[in-house]
Amino acid sequence: MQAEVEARVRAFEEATRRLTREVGKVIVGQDEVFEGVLMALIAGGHALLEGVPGLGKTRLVRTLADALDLSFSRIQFTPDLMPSDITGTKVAIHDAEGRTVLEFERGPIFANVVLADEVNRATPRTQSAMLEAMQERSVTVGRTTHSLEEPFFVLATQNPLEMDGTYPLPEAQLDRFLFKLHVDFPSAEELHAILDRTTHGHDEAIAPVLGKAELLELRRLAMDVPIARHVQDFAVRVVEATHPERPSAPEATRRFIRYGASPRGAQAIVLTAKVRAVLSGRFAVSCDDIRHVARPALRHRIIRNFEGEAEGVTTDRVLDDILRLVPEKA
Amino acid sequence: MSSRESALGSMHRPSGPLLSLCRRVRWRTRARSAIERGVLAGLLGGGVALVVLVLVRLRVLEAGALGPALGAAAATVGLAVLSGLLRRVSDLQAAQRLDRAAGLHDRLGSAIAFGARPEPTPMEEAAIRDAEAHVGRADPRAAAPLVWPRRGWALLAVAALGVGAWLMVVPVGPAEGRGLSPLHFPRPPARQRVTLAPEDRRELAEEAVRLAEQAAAIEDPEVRSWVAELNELVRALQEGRITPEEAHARIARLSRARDEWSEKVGEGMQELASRAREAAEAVRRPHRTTSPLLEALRAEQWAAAARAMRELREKTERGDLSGGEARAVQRDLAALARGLESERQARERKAKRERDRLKKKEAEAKDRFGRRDRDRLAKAERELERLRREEQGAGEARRQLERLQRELDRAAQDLARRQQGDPDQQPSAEQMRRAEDIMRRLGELTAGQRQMRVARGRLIDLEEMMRRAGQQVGQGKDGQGKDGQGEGGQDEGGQDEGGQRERFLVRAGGDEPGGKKGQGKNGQQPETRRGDDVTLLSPGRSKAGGVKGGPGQGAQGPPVPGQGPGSARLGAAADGIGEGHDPRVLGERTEQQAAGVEDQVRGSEGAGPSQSRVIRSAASRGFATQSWRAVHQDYSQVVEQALERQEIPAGQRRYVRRYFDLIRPR
Repeated sequence: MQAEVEARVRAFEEATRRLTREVGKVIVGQDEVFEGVLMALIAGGHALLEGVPGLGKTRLVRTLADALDLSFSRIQFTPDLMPSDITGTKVAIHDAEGRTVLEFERGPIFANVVLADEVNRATPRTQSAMLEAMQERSVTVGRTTHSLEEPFFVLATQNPLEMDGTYPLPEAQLDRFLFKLHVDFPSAEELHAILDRTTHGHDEAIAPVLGKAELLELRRLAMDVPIARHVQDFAVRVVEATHPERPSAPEATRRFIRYGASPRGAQAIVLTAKVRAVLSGRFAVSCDDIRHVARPALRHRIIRNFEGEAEGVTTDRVLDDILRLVPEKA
Repeated sequence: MSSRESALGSMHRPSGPLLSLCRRVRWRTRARSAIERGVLAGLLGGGVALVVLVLVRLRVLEAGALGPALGAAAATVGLAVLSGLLRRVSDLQAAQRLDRAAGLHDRLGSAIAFGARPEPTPMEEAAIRDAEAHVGRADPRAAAPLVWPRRGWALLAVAALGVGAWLMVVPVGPAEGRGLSPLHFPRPPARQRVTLAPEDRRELAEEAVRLAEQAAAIEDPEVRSWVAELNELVRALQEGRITPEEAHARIARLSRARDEWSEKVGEGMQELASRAREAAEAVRRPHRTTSPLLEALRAEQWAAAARAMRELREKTERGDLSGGEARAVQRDLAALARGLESERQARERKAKRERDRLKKKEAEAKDRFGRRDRDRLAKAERELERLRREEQGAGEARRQLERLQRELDRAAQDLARRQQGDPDQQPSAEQMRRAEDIMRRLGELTAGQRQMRVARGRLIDLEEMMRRAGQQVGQGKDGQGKDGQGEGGQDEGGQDEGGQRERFLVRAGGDEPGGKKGQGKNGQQPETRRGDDVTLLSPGRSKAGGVKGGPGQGAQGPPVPGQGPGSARLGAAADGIGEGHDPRVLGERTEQQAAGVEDQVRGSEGAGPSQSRVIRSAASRGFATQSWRAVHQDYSQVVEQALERQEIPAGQRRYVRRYFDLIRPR
């Protein structure tokens, strides 16, 4: 039993190492973003990537899909995009007998990896259709509900700079994303590497290194990773500290936060912390894992108040304060 | 063994090395906690014991109180240490400490937590094994370091204070041995007394005798008390039993008391006496009965006037006055009262007459009492009210003089009525007696004002003496042993008759007048250099200087390094009148810091700009026709403005003010 567990963990490590190596052929830098995407993928959640154009968000997702040997579809969100453009619709076709029948034509959402590019450009109605599918992992058209095939992983991107013609995602819908990852500008060294790789005329071929079954096995293994009570207690206290009305809330929370993270935030922390533990070759979650995943798991789940927005206090700053002030031991 | 127990037995639990590590960390944590708590308890208990120790040393508490206090402190420390040793530290807490110290990512803590579960999952068992594999990296010393306690230095400080309190020397109180003895704190070091120059002290001794004689002759109790207080101050200064601060405070108090007395008395008694003299001179051909009274008033002798009035009253009471004499007395007193009537009284009389007329008119013919009459009546009432207020606001001297005028007027009126045969008329002796008292009181006020004026000059003299004494002390402080101006130098040196030459010799030779133990705060080196340059007269130096041997250090100077005896060197080198001279002819710059705050102003060479001001009172009418009081007031104001506006050292301002104060009209 012990050997089996260890073998599973070693296999996990090996699989993720292969995936990382393959993606690394194309993607330079962005290690933190890729790690976040990988954790969300294994944990079975969705990720929202936020960054200015040209930083490789789409490229990262496409490369990941190529390396995963999974079906991939990309939806470019525009203001005139309709829900049916995502979910699919019934179309009239002639059957073998020559009769005209209505048949459901699947939309691009029916893929294992979906890239929702510039998700904030679509209307709220379309966004809702997308996000409902993300949450329910099924699409209902007419009276028929169509389940989405597992693994189902949505990577949405949005541009934080452009505000005109965009429909920012409501907080309730942001909560559906397991992670919100910030894609930062690469360092000078990374930029050199990007230029070296992308300006010589031919693209690196990406081979699929991780299949659907393996991915689901990784997910199962991650779910099996245990978490000690005192570590989970730390996660709970971190989430509690995001609530301004709680006595344990630090000053920054009381001053700048209107609503704290939901229990879904705590779930996201623990789930992704488990993945990180296995990614690190450990068999149990540590408080460091909690600290590591707290920012991407919570930054889009806490809502600033007017003072926080007016003073330009980011949720990351508040989370930094929380992680600094909340002790690991109760 | 049941199947479940068998299954549990096969499960992997945290093993010996991990638990052993945790145990070590637990004990180290407890030891650390015991030390911290013990230090805290020691701090508290030691503080209490320290207070008790100090009180015992001061004999507020009996020595027996120290034992229980120390015992209680020790018991507190013991209990605190015990509580620290018994502190509950779980394996999980110990493992967490190990994890944090070694960066084991909660491996050990999780292993302990998983091991405590009834049925660990395979992954949990794998986690336990993983933790055991990393046990070697854990270090109990890093996890629970035994470091210097946080309040250790404070405890050491309390202990040091305790030792200091134990070694503290406390003077024995008179009531020691009677249980609780009163506190006898050492007296604070005596502050520097005022040390006057010998001539000043001689002058003050004479002044004290003079003041005592004057005080005996003063009748006004307030003035007598004031002079007595001044005399006490003079004696205190003369005997050197008062500090400069106390002396200045008492001088200020006396000045305030004098100002209050002067304000109460009001205008100058000399002016009132002049008015009385003019009134007496205005009496034409006085009768021989009233002549002594009028003569005394002409001589401005209130006491003599009171005596004359008493004789007149006694004659009146005895009925010794004939009809003609009574008429003459009545005429002279009425004339005297008219002459004494002040301007305010004249206005008051007119206003009363006007008011009475109008009231009579109102009572007799109301229909003819028009609006104009009412306005006049109201105006007269207002005028009377204003005059009453003016009377109330006047000084005592002026009010007494007005009372005298009224009593004399009433006495004259009574005499007139009696001559007219009014049987109900009371004799005028009562008014005369009151007039007599008033004259006596005016005499007292005159004497008191004179005394106060003289005493004010004495106060100024005292201030000047204090200033000189301060400068002397400052010199003694700054150059102790140099010129022997310090208190001790004077006391020991006795009569400093040849002071100037002595000071010259001392400055040249670096010695002090007493010839022993010369101490110099500053500039021992320059003194030696000067001594080399000058040949000094050694034999008979002390005779010439009139200074006897003795410690000549100044009163205020603490012994400082660089002091040294100068007499031996002086004696060896001094063989006659020197031929050379200190190359620095101008000598050192005078050290002023000991005498007070240095106050310098920038000046320009030559006459400098001058201001000319036209004094309004002088220009408008000329000096000859203007009273000195008005002229002085105008000049004083101009001088005050100039003093405020221009940069004049504070010490010089005082001289200017003093000059104008001395020429103040009296």
